Amino acid sequence: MAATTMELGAGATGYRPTATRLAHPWLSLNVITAFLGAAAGYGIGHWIGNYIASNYAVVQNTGQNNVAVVLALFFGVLGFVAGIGGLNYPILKIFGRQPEERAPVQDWTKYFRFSTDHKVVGKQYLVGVIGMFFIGGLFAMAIRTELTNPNTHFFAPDIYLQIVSEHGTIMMMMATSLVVGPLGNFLVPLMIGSRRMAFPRLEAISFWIFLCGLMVILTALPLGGFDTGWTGYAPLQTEAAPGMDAYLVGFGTIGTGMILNGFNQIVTIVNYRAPGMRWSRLPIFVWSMLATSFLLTLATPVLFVAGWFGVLDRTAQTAFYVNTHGGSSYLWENLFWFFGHPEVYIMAIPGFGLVGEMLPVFTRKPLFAYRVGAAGMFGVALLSFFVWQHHLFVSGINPDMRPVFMLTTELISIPTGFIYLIGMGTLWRARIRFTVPMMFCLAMYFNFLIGGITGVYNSDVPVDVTIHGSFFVMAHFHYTIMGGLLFAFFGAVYYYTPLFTGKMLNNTLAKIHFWWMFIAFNFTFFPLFIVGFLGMPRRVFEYAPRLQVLNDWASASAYLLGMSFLVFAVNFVWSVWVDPRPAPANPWQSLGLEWQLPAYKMPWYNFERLPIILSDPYHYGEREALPVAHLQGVLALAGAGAGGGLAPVGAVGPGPGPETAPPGGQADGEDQRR
Amino acid sequence: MKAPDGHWVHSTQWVLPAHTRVNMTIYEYDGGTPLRNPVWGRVSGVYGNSYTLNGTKKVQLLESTSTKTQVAHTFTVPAMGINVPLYAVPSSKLCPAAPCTLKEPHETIQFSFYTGHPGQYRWQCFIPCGLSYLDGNGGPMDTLGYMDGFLKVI
Amino acid sequence: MSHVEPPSEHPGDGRVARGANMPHFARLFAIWLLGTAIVEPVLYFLVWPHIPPGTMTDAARGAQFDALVLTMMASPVVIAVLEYFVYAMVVWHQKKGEPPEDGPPIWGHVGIQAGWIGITSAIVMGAFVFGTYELINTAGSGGGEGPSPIWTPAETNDMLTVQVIGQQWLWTYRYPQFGGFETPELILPNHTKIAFHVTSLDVIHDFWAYQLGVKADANPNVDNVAFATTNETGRFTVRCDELCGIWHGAMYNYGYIVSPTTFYKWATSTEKKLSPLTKILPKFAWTYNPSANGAGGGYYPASDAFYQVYKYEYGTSGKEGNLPAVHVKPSGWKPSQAGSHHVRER
Ligand SMILES: [Cu+2]
Ligand SMILES: [Cu+2]
Repeated sequence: MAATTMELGAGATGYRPTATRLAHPWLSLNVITAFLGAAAGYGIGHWIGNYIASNYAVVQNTGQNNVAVVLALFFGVLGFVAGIGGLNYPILKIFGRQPEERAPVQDWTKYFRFSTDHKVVGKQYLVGVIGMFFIGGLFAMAIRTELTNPNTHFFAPDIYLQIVSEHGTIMMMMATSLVVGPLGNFLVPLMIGSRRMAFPRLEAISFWIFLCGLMVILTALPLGGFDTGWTGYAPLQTEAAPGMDAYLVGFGTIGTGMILNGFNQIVTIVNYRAPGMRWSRLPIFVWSMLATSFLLTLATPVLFVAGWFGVLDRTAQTAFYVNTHGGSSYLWENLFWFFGHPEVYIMAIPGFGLVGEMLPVFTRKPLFAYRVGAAGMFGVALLSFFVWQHHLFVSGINPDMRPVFMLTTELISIPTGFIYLIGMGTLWRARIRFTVPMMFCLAMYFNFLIGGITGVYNSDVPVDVTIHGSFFVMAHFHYTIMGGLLFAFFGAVYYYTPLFTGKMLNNTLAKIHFWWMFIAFNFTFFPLFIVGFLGMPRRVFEYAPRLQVLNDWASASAYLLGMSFLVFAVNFVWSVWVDPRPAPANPWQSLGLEWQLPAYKMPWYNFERLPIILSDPYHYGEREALPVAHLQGVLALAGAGAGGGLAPVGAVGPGPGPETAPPGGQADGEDQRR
Repeated sequence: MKAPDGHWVHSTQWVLPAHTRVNMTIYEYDGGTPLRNPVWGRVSGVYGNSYTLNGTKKVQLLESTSTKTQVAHTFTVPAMGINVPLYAVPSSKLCPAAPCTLKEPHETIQFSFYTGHPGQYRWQCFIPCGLSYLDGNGGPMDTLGYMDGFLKVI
Repeated sequence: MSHVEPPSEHPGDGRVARGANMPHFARLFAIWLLGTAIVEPVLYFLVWPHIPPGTMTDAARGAQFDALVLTMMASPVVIAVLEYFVYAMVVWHQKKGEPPEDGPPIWGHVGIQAGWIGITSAIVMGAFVFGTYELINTAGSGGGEGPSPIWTPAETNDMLTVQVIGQQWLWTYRYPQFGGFETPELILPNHTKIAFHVTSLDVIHDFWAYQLGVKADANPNVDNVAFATTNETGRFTVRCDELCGIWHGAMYNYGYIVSPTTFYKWATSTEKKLSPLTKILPKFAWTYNPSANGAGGGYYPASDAFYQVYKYEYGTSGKEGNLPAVHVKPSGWKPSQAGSHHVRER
């Protein structure tokens, strides 16, 4: 990697290192060795735990020892990361050896390996988050099944709580990385004209750790599950079954991945911008990634520490969260929400960024009040650290601070409102093109309006006394996270799949998916506001019979909502693998830098020479505007196919003529096949 | 841990007829634990607000504190107002390993209650009997099939 | 295609129809005014009486009025935004047959931006000021204020104190002005100020008396106080609103507000009936620490240092002392003390 920077300095000659092919792909580290490592680590950790702590913390009836469970999960994660090859570099360094720098593997097995190509990591994340979303979605279906009847039960109440808790935890973990993971890693270097992320190994490790987090949280089920919901309130946490250890270790694991990913994004965005990429030219999506990354880096450590205290309470019998032994149940609530509220915006700001990125393309107008939009994201990020006690308005803590937290919470709606300002300003006298990504953007504005306005009810203490902890809150955050972030995400998936894969997704199926999802989503969650206002608490398996009609309506709609994602899955599998249709280069006529080059054909180092940025990417409607970047010679594409595919680039800047295109078929032979 | 229904019905979910007087016999093999809340030492919601212990003694109120531990578990159906604290076997005489048989020391508790309207009624134990869990309230206390169940009145 | 295309051959047909700014402003404003003029009276006259949680106490009535005010503040915003999006989609889309063109390059507008920030700030400050007024005006608006409440009812001599004890998985209630008896029934006198002292024996619960507009977390070893003044007789629902384990969903029952004399009769007779039980209960205290009687499940060893100190300082029955700011009147409570507290209509 050091070579990259040196070459950067040299500049003139361009950069084309040789891709190394391994002797035999299955003899080197990959996902199979990772699982072997995880199994070995799990066994070792379990044995150590039983060896050092067999005489205490043994939970009767389960034969489980919390120390053994925690250590097994921890060493399992460590074994997985070692097995995938994530520890090779630091271990070699520790033993004083200079690790051999290698280009990432280039054949298809790269997707099952520790790859330092940010585009590969982005795709790995994409499959990871969608898989996780589907798993969490199955739990949601089970929840709605239980709630079809107020007092006849499909699940035992303890099983039901395990389902609720798994759903909440998996979805929250998934949503923290839903955009920063796949799109952040894939797009940020392309948008800022960088060859890579600042720390490619950290980037790769953050993905594999993310995957470990999912697996750890699923191991809670065979361990007896956990019954605290995703909020894990102590001391219920302290008395829960060994599955609780999986929750704590799982959040710690995924939190590590979040911190690494956020840190990496910050350093990349600050230091790896191409020449000419001033702050004023930064795409709005990159601004959103920067704001989100500060939240990831600064808020997640608090969760990590909170979880660590919980682990100590459960294994070493400390009493951080046990009031009657000198601790405080408020301590967890405070630490958790000090992380938890920034977390809410970790899940909202990326959606704002995506929508801000897509709107100019489909309105054919510059982004309205760009600076206000960027400032709004940072305003939200900053304020989000000062609102956490609005989750504790009835907890009995700090009554004198209630007006303050009411104020900060309501203040946050001002910068959030900027997202509407830039959206509505951009729509003013626009030329709206109703493509599927645009429809998702507009739907996001609709859903987030409802989610945002109901948030004001939650922030108002007298009203919150009624709706706190009820289905109203549940509907509120599903409107902001699912209605906001997830809609923006799916818009972006339709928007960027041509860039990721070179294939177009089927438009008819996409439209069916959109309308189906949009209608079913609103049918599912809107009645739940009413249900909550009428007195139904969250996470209950029994409720008042008078609320059955609304609940049944919501359940029926939820099944439909679940099915709508099958349309997406079918479309994606069909259009990308079964019957691929090549996408035109830059199918949406975007001016964004990322669209000027076909990312799916790029080698792992992206650019032969770094682009020179000339303007921001929103100069729609300006005939005299400069192209977004000077692209001459930046391409490192091999083969003749590149020339044709790149024709539209000519619209922006002089494309690489045959004489400047790199000679194909030699250095990058691996890519040529794609 | 055993459910208060002993080992001869291995289920904590029973189906009962509505509007019926049910005579219940509980064999109790477990030792005593202090009650978290002594309010559950009072028998209520059953005929006569009392039960018969070992065929002779009438019991209305049991005390279970750190000095005097008489209660092993309770059979409590909150929605029916039923609360039956189960007299404990002295800890020196506990049967060595579950499942215990009727030959081993136990207490026999007899009472009857009225089922009333159809519905699903939960029952639970109010003694923190989840040993080695915080507050004694995890584990069996938190798991259907141990100290929790349903009365399905039809 | 994008801006680099040659200028449109038909400069007239798209641009003129889209016109200048003012006609759009005027139309949007007119539609907004009409929508707001219809919605606001509907909210005020038709919706207000039906807004939960009703009017059983002053706290509930305050929450209801607050929800109305928020809705009436939010409605014009929602109408404006929705109307704008629909208008934009209808009027400003790329029409079939039109040459694909870019829109006008509008980068921003200082007046619009400043106005937007000004208006949203004003709305937010209005919501904050009103919410704070309601919060103080109804003595914490029924929310738990912790052991030393700062917003208390003006007169506290005639207040009825009820201790609410959450335990896995049922609520019980103690009436310290009636000898401290404890029962799973919650009966309250009408036209009376009530102080709920909410605490827990194990994990965090949340006492939610829905129609009373009262909600307070039950934390172990914490006395969380919430106030409400009763206003109507009838039945209300009590639910646990914080996940507390397997039976969280079943942790509900009903309470009743009855006339002061009926309440007094019930309270005195129950006091007598339960006196043998009350004798074995721990002495009344603001919190209640059952671990001290050994019922801790053995999670922490009996030699635990904190437990020993605790036992030494507080005895085995719970915390003595630590009286909250709102004291219980020692002489008990009489029906003559009720009746003077009619919650004013708005
Ligand atoms: Cu929050
Ligand atoms: Cu509860």
